[in-house]
Amino acid sequence: MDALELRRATVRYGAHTALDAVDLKVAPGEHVALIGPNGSGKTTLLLTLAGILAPDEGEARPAGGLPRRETARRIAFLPQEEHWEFPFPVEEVVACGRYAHVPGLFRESVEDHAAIDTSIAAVGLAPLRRRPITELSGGERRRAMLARALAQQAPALLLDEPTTALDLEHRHAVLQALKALGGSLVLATHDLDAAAACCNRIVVLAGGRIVADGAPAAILNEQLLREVFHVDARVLHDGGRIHVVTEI
Amino acid sequence: MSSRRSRNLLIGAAAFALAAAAVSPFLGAAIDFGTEEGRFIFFRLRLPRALLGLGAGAALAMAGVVLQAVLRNPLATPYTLGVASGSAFGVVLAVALGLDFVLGPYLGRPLVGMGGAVLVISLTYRAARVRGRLPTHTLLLAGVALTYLFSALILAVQYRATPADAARILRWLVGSLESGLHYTAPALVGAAALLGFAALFPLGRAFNAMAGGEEAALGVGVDVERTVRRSYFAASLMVGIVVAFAGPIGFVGLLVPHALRLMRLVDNRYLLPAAALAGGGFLALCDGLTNLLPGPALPVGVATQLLGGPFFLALLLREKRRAY
Repeated sequence: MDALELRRATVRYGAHTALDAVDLKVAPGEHVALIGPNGSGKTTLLLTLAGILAPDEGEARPAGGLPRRETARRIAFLPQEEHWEFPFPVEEVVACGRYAHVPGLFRESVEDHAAIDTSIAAVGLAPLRRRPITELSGGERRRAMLARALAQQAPALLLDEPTTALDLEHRHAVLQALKALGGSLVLATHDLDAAAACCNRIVVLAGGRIVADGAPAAILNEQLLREVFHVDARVLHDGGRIHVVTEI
Repeated sequence: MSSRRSRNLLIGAAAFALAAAAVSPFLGAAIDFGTEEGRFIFFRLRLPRALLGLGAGAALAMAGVVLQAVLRNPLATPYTLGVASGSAFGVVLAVALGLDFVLGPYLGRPLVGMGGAVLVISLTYRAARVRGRLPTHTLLLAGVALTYLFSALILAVQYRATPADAARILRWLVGSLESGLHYTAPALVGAAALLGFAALFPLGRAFNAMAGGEEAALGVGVDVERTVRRSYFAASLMVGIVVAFAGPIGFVGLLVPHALRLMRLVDNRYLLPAAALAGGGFLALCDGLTNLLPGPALPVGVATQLLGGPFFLALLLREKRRAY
């Protein structure tokens, strides 16, 4: 299993530089949370790392240069938003996660079916597996897409805001599943408690650059939150857990 | 998996296509096979029309499925990307300039129509490309822009044409299976539909993965660029050939895929062949039904919309009652 790596990766959208010569290396098995304000480059970083966006300068490894199918067997990617026009049943949505593994059009193997079933169970969607995705709530759709990424069974998982729209029960279940994950994980999120809970490293982005990188306890402090997010927040340490609290 | 239901619907579509093709040539005035005239009407007029209906309906319905899938737009039709307007403009120009009489109306019109289609396909493709890629939103916008442009040109030519030519143009624009070519038109259109199917059917899983968005499809390993390009060219060429021979027959490409989806057939691996069969059957049947109407026969382009509209509304209302 390779490390995921960005080398001096720069991505521009027209005149706007979304990612500015970023260097990042994620070791096999490492769990990294990407945090930062809206528009700081989290999604662009994930897309580049996943090989979906080719950087204007620099490179992404191992995704850069690999065929799509090859990349998808090594890196699973959950986009920030999905958009459904057609009523695919949940199980068919999840089955798409096996795209890179199934050779022909119909030749799904026993392993493919097992991966689909365990992924649906992992996000708690077994009772809804035959329901059309267009009839699900936002949180249920999110979990279906997460199951699809899990079904890829790739050694690296890149997730863009996997816990948005999830209720307390399913946020808890999803975070537990992610924490227990054996492979590498890169998680872009605004859920700072979740970042601290299931990742052993936090990378802070602002203006397309990495401004802090380290263990959650070292990174999540009141001064950094003020500098990066412009809020006065309190950071509470409860045993090994970290909670970020803001006054409203 | 819900593949059993999909398979049953596919079998149903095949049965419908067979039944429609078998029934269609017998609709209308009874045929006396004992006479030369009766045999001529059946074998030289009605049967080729039914076969052209099968091929054209299949091609249009497949193009509808594929363009809706790659553009992720349920309102996309085979004509959304401008191919039909280009083809129609070619034919309209040929009629107005009298090229008809030079090339002969039977093969001349289709040839000029194909020329118009190829022109629009390449113009749309060039206009839509951004930095060597073919994003679906620019493809859609370029197609819509060229549709308007060529529709305006058609109107301009039609407005200035002699009344007789204007009437001929109007007739052609409604869409009809009366090619006057006997078996040549069904053979060419059928071959185009088969080739299109061969190019598009292997993309079924990619279409499924693209239903959740392009990034999501890339994430699971779909080469979205290649899928879009192949779909665009295969669907457009099929539509170009159909329009060149039968005119811009409306509604089949929009209605058939949606009718099947409303029956819960969404998996594109089954939807594409089922739509081809159901679309072919639907068009052949509509054409046969025009023979039953009193008075001079209406072209099939009127019948598809006349029958398709209410049928589609009924399906929609049934689905709405179920869901809300």
